[in-house]
Amino acid sequence: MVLPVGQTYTANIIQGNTGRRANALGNMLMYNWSQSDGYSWYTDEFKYNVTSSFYPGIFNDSYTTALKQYQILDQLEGVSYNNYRAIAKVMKAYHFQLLVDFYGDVPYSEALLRSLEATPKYDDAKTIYEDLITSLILPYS
Amino acid sequence: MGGTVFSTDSRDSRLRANNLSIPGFYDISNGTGSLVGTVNESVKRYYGFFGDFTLGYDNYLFLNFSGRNDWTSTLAKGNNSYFYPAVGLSFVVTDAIEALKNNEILSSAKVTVSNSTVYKRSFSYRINESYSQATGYPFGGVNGFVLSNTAVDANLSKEKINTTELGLNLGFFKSRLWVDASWYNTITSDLITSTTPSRASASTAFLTNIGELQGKGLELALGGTVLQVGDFKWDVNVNYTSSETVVNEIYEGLDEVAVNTGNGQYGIYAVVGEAFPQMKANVYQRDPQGRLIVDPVSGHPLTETALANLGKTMPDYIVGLNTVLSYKGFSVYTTWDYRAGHVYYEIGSDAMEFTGRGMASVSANRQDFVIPNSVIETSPGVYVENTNIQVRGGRQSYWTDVYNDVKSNYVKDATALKMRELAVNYELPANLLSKTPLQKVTIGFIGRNLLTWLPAENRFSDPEFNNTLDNAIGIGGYNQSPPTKSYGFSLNVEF
Repeated sequence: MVLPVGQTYTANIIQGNTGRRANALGNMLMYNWSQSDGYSWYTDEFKYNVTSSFYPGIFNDSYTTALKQYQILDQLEGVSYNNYRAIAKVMKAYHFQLLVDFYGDVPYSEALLRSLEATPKYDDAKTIYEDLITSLILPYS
Repeated sequence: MGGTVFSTDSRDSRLRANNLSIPGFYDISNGTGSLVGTVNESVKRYYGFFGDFTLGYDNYLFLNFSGRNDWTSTLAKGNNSYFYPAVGLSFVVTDAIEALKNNEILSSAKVTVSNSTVYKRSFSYRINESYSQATGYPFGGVNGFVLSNTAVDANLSKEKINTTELGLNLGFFKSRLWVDASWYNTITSDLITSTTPSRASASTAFLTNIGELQGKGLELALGGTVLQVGDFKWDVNVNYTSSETVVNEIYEGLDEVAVNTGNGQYGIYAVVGEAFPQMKANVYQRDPQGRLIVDPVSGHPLTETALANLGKTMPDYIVGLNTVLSYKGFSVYTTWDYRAGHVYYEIGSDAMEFTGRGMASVSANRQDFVIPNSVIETSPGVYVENTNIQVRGGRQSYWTDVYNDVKSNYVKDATALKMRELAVNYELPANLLSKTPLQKVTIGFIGRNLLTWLPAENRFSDPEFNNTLDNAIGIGGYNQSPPTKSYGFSLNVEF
């Protein structure tokens, strides 16, 4: 019951029905999309005005919605949850890869620990990519 | 000595059927689609034992001790018992000193000193992180649950409030004139606070105990009958309150915390060593003479990277005045107050500027213009007056993307003088009522919030109307009904 919500969140980060999502940004930066003359809704995108308030949803929602749910699955114990843990690892790897693609260094090793670590450190982008590959070599078949 | 047990069991269950088939037939069976239901249950309990002990000496000196121990179910076991002591001393000066007894001028005088400690409990179930049904679920046959956005500190404990108070009450001329003064110092520590963690911790709020706040204040009240001639009487009460809360400590390694932010460009903060709540916003870069520094290419003003402290959002002081004029059956009652020394965020002007309806956005007649009194930094530390570089996009984008993004433009003085209430009453003479079963009849007119004076720079709103909840006082003027005046009539009959 935690997994479908996580998947809904994943879809929402890519292309939600509200706000500025990854899909819109990608299409805008590739000049697949433009804005109508006389509108000033996408000024930051076309001026490359990337500030801390530029598409914050990609960062914030990845951690606080989708990854939060996958982390719960990833922490389950017992053989009967092997499949859920596998799904969780794949989805976590997907989101962290996107985050590194967008931002470079991001919190990874100390991330998603909630009350145990309120201010996780940022990890090196290269280390994260490498660790993601390791995490996908599943310890169980 | 005594003991208390407080126990709350609550259960709230709702069942709803939508789209009734037969209008007016309110029954579950009449709905189409699935039934919607919710149940909320909670159990909360606390126990307390207390003792109270007072020593009196000759009816003028009193010493009081009290203590109380509570156990609550809203905090974790081992962390849920707390003792709160209080001590107080009061001294009636006019009874203690022989020469002051039956004094014509000073009719009563009393001094009190006290110190007490209390603790604040958390709400029920706040120490546990919870799951809830996610939006959009159940979807088809699949249910979905989501972990709460609030992470909870496993060692969450009680909040402590310690208050020291000094009081003085004086009465003069057989209590025709009186003065009450009190000074207090309150230290609140380990506040149970919802803080903002890094989003990368997978939570948007982190409930923990942080910080120390110190509140100091002075309250003065003065009142009496100013004039009494025959049937005419004029009573005046004035009170003055000044208070300031300073943040002593937040968290190890942290010198400020955001209580409420608007997209990172402004917000209400708690800043160590500053008054709370503190307004912060992004500000223009200025040269040593205070002139705006503009970009030599775009003509746009430059802003500082860090937000600046722009003042507190609670007044330095409040002066309240109420007067009653009465003559025979008539009485006129008015209440005024004046608050000063604080700022607020004018969110309405912010929105109107963005949509091109603000006064500033037409100040240059929607043309490109040179910002008055601006300078260009030609080499580090050398500033030359800007006479020819115009802003770009004066028609629109300068105002929506540049000016509108400097949020200190909308932090305004929240000083206000208000006439809160005016009431005119007339009590019918008793001889008119002597043949009726009525004892007393009063008719009256009452008006509230009738007059407000604001400083010229505050063009938009009554600063008292707030958008935000909790401690984030000071962001106002939007998303709520506008302030209203109200008029009413009253009729009061006693049998």
